[in-house]
Amino acid sequence: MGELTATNLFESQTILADHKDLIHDVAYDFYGERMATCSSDQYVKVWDSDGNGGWRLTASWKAHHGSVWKVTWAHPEFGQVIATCSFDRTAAIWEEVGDTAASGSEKGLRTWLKRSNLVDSRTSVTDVKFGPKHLGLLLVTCSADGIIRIYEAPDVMNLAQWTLQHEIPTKVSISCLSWNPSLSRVVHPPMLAVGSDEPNTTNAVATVQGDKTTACNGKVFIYEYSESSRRWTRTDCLSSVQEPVNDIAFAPNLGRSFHLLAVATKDVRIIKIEPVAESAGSGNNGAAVRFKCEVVAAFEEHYSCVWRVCWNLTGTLLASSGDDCAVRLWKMQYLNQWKCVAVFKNEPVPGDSPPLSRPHTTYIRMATMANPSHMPFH
Amino acid sequence: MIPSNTICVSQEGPANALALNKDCSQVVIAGRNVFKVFSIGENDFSEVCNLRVGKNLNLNFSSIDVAWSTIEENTLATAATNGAVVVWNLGRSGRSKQEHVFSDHKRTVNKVSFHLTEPALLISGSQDGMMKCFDLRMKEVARTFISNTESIRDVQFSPHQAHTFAAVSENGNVQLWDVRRHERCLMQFTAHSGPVFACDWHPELPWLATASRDKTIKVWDILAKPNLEHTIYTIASVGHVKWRPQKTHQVASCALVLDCAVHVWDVRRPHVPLATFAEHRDVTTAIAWLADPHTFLSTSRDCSLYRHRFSEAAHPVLWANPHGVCLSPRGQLAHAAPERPLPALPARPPRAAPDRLVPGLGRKQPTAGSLSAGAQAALERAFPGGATSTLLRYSAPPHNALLQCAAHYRMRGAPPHVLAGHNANVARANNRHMVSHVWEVVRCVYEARAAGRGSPAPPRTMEPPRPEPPPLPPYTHTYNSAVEEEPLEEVEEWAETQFHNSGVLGKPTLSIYIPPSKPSKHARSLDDENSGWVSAASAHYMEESGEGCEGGLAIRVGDNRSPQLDVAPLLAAALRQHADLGDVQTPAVVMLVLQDHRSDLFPYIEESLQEHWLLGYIELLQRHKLWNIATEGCAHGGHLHHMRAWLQRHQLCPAGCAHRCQLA
Repeated sequence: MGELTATNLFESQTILADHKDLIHDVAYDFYGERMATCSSDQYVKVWDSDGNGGWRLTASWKAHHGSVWKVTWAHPEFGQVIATCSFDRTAAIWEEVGDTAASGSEKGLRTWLKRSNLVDSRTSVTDVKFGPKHLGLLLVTCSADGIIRIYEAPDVMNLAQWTLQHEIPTKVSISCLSWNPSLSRVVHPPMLAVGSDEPNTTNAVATVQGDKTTACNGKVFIYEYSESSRRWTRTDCLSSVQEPVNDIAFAPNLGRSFHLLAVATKDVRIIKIEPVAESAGSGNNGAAVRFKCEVVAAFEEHYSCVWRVCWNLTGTLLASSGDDCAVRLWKMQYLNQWKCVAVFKNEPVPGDSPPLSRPHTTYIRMATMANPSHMPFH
Repeated sequence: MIPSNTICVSQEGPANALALNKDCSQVVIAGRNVFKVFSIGENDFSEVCNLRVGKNLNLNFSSIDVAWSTIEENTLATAATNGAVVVWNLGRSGRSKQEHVFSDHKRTVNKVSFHLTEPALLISGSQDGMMKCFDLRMKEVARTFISNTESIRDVQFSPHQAHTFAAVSENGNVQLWDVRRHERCLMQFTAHSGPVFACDWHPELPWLATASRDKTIKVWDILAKPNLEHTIYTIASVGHVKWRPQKTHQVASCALVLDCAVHVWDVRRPHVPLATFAEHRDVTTAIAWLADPHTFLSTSRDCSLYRHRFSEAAHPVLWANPHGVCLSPRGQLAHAAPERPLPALPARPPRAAPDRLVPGLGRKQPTAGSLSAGAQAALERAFPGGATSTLLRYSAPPHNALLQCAAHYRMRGAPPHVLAGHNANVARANNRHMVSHVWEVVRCVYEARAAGRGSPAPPRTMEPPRPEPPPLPPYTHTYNSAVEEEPLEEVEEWAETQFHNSGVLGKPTLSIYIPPSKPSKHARSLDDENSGWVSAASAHYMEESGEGCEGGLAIRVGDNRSPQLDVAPLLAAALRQHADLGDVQTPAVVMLVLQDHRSDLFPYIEESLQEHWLLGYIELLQRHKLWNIATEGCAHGGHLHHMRAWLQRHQLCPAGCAHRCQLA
């Protein structure tokens, strides 16, 4: 790691979230001006940027009857809409009502209404994501019993009506999913990646091998939608990922010829998925290989289980966080080498110490950058 | 899959209730079609006695609840659906063990409960809203307690005050009665907003736990005035609740509907169960701890009776994602992390690499029951305090070359080479030297074309060549180009002032750093390494194009009168390379700047990819709210130049809303 110098500091700000249990997800909206958090305390909170670096709580409500695992924003074209999913086996769609430009009620709080409750799952709903905007208003959920469900709001003005379009059984527990965000309708058909946290027991291997479609021990599966058959089919299984997967994220693809997929498993992985040209494949969709997959990076620096991965807007910078409570930033360097460019260490409190007396004002503290020369602006 | 130390037996019908004898060696289960006593062995249940025998299997055998006397070895009582309370004596000779039937209740009896010290006293709670105290010696009803509610769901004697019992009812009330006084209750309070289905006294503290359809378990301190101590939030109506012996803060519960599992909660962490036992395939109907905190029994509507070992629990907290990370389009990073993460597993000295962290408890548990005893104890200790997250936001100093470039690039109003020269300067001013390099190449190539020396230029207005691009600020010349003039500066200034505080993380800069250098105007050969390419990446895409040397020559075209070479494939490869590196701005803007010359690249860049680039760049600008115009009708925004460029080639809105757009 490079030297640490005092001039290369990231400003860090603690936000007093006041959730009563662990926060499981944080999501910025399309513009990065609003932020939603969700927690095991069954609450969802929405924070708005004041434009000067401060964040103000503008909504907080009990969204579910169980831990809320994920929260995600719809494209602003569809309004101020978020979706949540929970241990209580449901996913919900929420819309902010009233004039979003107004400053809200006297307490500064805005109202979010539950527009729809998706109750098809019989087990915990582990992830929820809106589809790329150009496909319409789509929502995909996945559940611990391994069923991927794709919903569509046929009328984007009516968020109360969602039709279950596809139900895809995967036969393994699914923990996370990611839409391929590619904007190109022509080149890239709708694509989903899902990650499984199924433990590697001998039993599980046996059942997987018994099934032809899952004859791969990988934990990451690629599904693609075929316009002609109107079905989602598993087109690939990434055999390079064999350990349970906690999070998965496609890099935004603003014009690349290939896709980058980040996987949080026992390490941080970046996998390059390159569509193989139609002519190069074996013609018809028989045993054609759709992709050339290559692990371009695997980092073990967290020395522990990696929980989350997240890309920046252009897919050039990856953030990961693991059990070491550090966030690491990874960036592609010379000759397609990915390197750690920064580490933000959030010092955990030892387990047996008494609860912290929380500061009642936000404070600034500085985090050091591991490798300043590799930061984008240096 | 059933963990190895869990044992199970199936019966002919579902059991509604179970009860243990006083030394916890035997269990009785009772339901509509089942009534059996099992002995609890080390590895199995063995049937001791089937009480559902005889000629006349009437409704007295259809049991809702069963109780086993805490004093008399052989005395059982059942609550029947027909309102009967039946007393059984296991010591009776003969097949039928039925001792006496009390038919005093008008409707279904929901619960029977023995007095903890008086062997002859039994109370019942019924759907008719009454409780009755039976004297087993006199075989008569000693007292009737009228609750004034529609129905009583549970009655439980207090372990702390010999004659006090609690009764819970469907209207959400809890009543405390003295078993000797039937006139009125000692205390009454509303505990829940919905029906209360069960209650359980804490074995040591004066606490009463109540379970309700409102999906909560509430813990009341009823020493003086009832005081709500804790509320546990579950995902479904709670049917039963039982305190875990010797563990002050832990309570087990099962749901009436929806959730088949048994959960053990720590009341200090009310949103996440400490342990979950998910063996049952249908809802659990009853739970009972054996005297120790490590074992309990449960029956279910799936017709099974289980003995669970606590060591084989699943711990949902180990599966839950404790971190949240998000990078905003403005380059900020939000990170939510547990304030006190779960402790590391007790170190295993052999084989663990010395400089490595021992994987913590926080990692995913492979299967239920795989934690060692020490790890489970550590988890139990750390669990109640682990409920806080820290939410941190990191932001870098505002600096964003992408936005600066977006604001200052010119795309129109001049021939390509002039625009390219301007844009090269913009890129260089923002330290994006490789991008600047690309612009220089474009400038040189099209400058040569514009000079009209041996170039097969497409039909357009010829411009006098400009040997050196003028420095910033922008040009004052008017060009006779075919494209109309636009009020560029206004637009750009607006954008510039708007976006000062954008973070740096979102910047798609190129990772290969080229020092500010002289533009490579002279031909170089690839083998001349030292004086060679300033940019390794440019070498890279030269290689890709397979025309490395010609690439160098192409740049020279402007200076020398070399044979005209086709620069298009090279430029196309360069643009693709930039797109692959995550910089869509360069290819998109180059395509726009080329104007009519764009067609040169068509053989090398398919239209769908061009569209992809444009859409990508528009999305990028949208994310930063760098639009200044909305289209008429659908009100979708976009950067003016890009919108115009798009609408030259397309009729539909670039936002994909299928609106036929016109610029406002």
